[in-house]
Amino acid sequence: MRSKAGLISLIALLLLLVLFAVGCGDAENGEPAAPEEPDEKIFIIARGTDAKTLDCGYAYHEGEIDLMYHLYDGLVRFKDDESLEIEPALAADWSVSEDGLVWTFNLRDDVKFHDGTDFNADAVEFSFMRILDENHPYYGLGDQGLAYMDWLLSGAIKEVRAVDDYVVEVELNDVFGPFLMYMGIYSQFIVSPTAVETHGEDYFQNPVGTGPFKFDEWKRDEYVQMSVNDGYWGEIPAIDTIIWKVVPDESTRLMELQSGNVHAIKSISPAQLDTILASDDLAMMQVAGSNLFYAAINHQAEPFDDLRVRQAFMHAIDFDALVESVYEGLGTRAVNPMPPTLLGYNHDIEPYAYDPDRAVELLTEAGLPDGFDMDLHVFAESRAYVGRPVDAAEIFKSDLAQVGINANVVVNEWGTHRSLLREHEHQVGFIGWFDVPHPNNFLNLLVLRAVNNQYENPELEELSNKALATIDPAEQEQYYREMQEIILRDVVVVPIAHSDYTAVVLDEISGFRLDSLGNVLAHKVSF
Amino acid sequence: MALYKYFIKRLALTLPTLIGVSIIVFLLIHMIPGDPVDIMLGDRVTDAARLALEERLGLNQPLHIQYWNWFSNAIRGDFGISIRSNQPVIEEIMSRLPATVELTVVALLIAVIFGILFGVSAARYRNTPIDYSMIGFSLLGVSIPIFWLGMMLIFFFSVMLGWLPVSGRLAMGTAIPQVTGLYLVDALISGKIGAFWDALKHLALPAFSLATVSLALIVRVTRSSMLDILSEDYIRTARAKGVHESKVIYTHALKNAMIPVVTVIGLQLAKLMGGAILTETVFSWPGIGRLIITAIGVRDYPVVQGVVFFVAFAFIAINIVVDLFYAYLDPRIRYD
Repeated sequence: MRSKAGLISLIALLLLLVLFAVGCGDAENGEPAAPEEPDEKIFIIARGTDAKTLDCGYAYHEGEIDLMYHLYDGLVRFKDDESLEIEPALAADWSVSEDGLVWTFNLRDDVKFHDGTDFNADAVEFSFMRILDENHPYYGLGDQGLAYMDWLLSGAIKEVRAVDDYVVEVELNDVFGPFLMYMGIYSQFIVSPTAVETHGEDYFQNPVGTGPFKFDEWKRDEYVQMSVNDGYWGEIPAIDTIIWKVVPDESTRLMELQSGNVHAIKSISPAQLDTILASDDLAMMQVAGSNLFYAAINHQAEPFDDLRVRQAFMHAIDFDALVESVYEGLGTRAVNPMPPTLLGYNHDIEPYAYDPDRAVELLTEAGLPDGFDMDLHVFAESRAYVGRPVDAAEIFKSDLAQVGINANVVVNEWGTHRSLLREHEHQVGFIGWFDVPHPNNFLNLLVLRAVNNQYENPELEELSNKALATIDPAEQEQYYREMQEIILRDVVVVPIAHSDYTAVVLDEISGFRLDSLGNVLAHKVSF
Repeated sequence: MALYKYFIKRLALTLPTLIGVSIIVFLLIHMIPGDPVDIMLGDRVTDAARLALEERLGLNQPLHIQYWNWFSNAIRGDFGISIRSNQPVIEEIMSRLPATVELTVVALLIAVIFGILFGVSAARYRNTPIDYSMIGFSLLGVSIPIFWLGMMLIFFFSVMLGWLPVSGRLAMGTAIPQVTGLYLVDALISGKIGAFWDALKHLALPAFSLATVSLALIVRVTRSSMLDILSEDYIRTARAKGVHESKVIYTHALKNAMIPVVTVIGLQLAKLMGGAILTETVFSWPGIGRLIITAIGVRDYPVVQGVVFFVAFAFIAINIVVDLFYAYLDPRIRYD
C-alpha cells in the first residue's frame, strides 16, 4: 500500500518536472506574451525604485517624482528644453501686483480631471491649502510625513484663494524671488478635490490629476501602470500605456533593455558605460544632476578659521582627477556650490588650480610650514550624489599628504555622520545636497542655512535676501553670481562634484527626455 | 513517549528561541548609531513629524515597557506601521508572501526532484563518469554565488537566446485574477493556460538559481545515504533473489535512504527563504526578500523588524513540522 503511494507521488513529481521543462522550452516556438490588443503601444521603463506615494503633495523621492510629471499638471511648467524657463500650463497667464505680494493666475477653463470633474480655481485653492493650512480638513492626509510644498513655501505663501471660477490669487508674506519657478515643481501640482474627498487616506494610491496620463494600477514593488488621457488639454501622447517597472538590480535593468523587454532604463553604473556606448541599439542620456557632493568645513575649528589654510586646501587637491576616478564618467566637477544648469550660475569663475606648491606657500604664510594633522570625516555608504564616498576621502588624504597635511580618514555610519556634522564635531566632513533647481536652494539653504558650516557672512546674507526680494530674473542672477564669487574667494565650502543623472533608451524610441532635474519625461515618446 | 507529548515538548522548547529572537529584533532599532527617528525621517523634516514618529514608535517610554508593547503586539501579528508606505507592516508582508512562497516551493521541488534523481544515479553508478559528473555538479552548485548564477542565467537564456523573460512574475501589461496570490495556481483556477505558461517561464530562472545550492546538498546526502544502504545485507539478499535492479534501488533502498534526506530537505526550506533575498533582488521578484532589502535601504525599521521576526517565526514553525515528520518516519527519535 505504502509503496504504491510512493510510486504515485513519484509519478506526480515527474509530471510536474515535465510540465516545468515544457514551460522552459515553450518560448522557443511561441511568441513572447503579447499584449491583449496588438495595436496598443505600451512603453515600459525600468527604474531602481518604486514610488511610496502617488499623491504629489507628499511625493519627495525619485521613485515617485517621475510619475508626478505624468499624472498631474501645475499652474506653470518648464519649457521643453534645457532652459529651465517657465511657460503657461493650467494657468493661461498671470500677473503680479506692484508690491510683488499678490500673484493672480487666470486658469484654463477647458480642463477636466481624470475623474471627469472640472478643474477650476477651487481645486487650486484646495490643492495648496490642504498642505499649508493646518486647519484644512485634509491637512496632513494619511500621516504621510514631509510635504515638500510645506518645506519650500510655507514661509512664503500667506494664502491661496479662488476669487472667481477660473481666477486664483496667491498672496505672499514677502516678495519671494523663486516663486514662479517653484510653481512648476511637482509638489505644487493640482489634485482633484473630489478624489481626495472620496478616497481620503487612500488617495495616495488612487491619484487623480489633469496630466497627460491617468492612473491605472499600482502593484507595490512591481510596477505602476498609466494610460493615456484622451481628453488631455495639451498635446495628447502618442503611446497608449506607460508602465514604470521596478527592477532594483542595475545589471538586470540593463539586460532587460538589451533583451528588448523594456524600452528605457533609468540610472546606470559606471561599469556599464562602455557596454552601452559600444551598442548601436542603445542611446545614452546624461545630465549634470541638481545635486552637490561637497566637503563641509567647520569654520570655527582650527586651523580652518584661517582663510589661507582653506585656500591651500583647494590648491592641494586635484579635483578633476578625483571626479574622473570616483565617478568614472558619470559625474561633473563642481566649481560653485550649485549645478551649472541653474539660473545665475557664474560660468566666469575660475576654479582653484591644482597647485601643491602654491598650497605649501599658503600654509607657510599661515604659520604651518610643516602642515598639520586633521580628521576627515566621511560616511560609509553610497548616496544619490556620490557612489563611493570613501574612495573620494582616500584621494583627499593622498593629495593632502603631498603638501604636508596629514588627514586621518574617519569612516562613519550615515546616522552618526550626520549628527556629528550637525553638532560641529568635525573639521572637514563630506556631505551632499539635492534640491529643486533654483540657486536659492543651493546658495542660501545649503551654504548659509545648513548648520554644517558654522559660517556667517553678513555680506552673503544681504545678497541672498536681495535675490529673494526681487522677481526680476536678471536681478536675481546678478546677486547669485556675486554670491558665488564670494563663496569661492572665502572657500566657504569645498564643492567636489555633481552626480550625473542617466537614462538609456532603445534606439527606435524617439521623444524620450531626461530633464535637468533628472526626471524622466515620456509625454512625447513614440515608436 | 507518545507523539503528542513529543509535540508539546518540542513546542515548549521553541518558546525561549522565540523570546530570544524577539529581543534581538526589538533591540535592532536601538543598536543603530544616531537618533533612529532622525535616520528614518531623512534630511528635511519638521519637529512635529519627528515628535509624531517618536510617539508612534513609543521611543519616549522606558525600554522594558517599549519591549513589552512591541512583543505583545508582534505575537498578535501587529508589527506597527511602515515608515515608507504608511501601511501596516503585516499587510506589507502578507501582500509579498505568496510571491516568496511560490518561488521557494518551486525551487524546493526542483531541488528535491533533481537532487534525489541525481543522488540515486550517482550511488547506483558509483565510480563511473556519471558519478563523477554528479559530484562535480554538486560541488559547483554549492560554490557558485546565487546572484552571479542568476546574472549568468539571465544573460544566456534571456539576452542571448531570448527564451525566457529577464525579471518579474508576469509579462508587463498582463494580469491574473488574484485568488491565492500564487500565480501558477491562480492561472489554473481561472483557466488561463497562456498566463500559466507565462508565470512558469518567469519562474524558471529564479527558481533554478535559488534551487542550486539545496539541489547540490541533496545530491550529496542522497548519494552517501544510498551507498550506505546499498551495502546492507537485505539489499544483497534482494539482488540474490533476482529482484530487478530498478526495484532494488527505488523500492528497497531509496525508502530507507530517505530519512537523512528528509532532514536536509526540511533545513533547506528555511535556507531557501534566506537565499530568496538575493534571488528576488536579481530577478525583481516582488517577495519578502525584496521587501526587507528595500526597507533596509530606506531605514524602514518597523518593516525590517517585522520581516525578521516573521521569518524567524516561520523558520521555527517549519522546524517543528520537520521534526514531527521525522519522528513519524523514525519512531526511535521520540524516545531519546
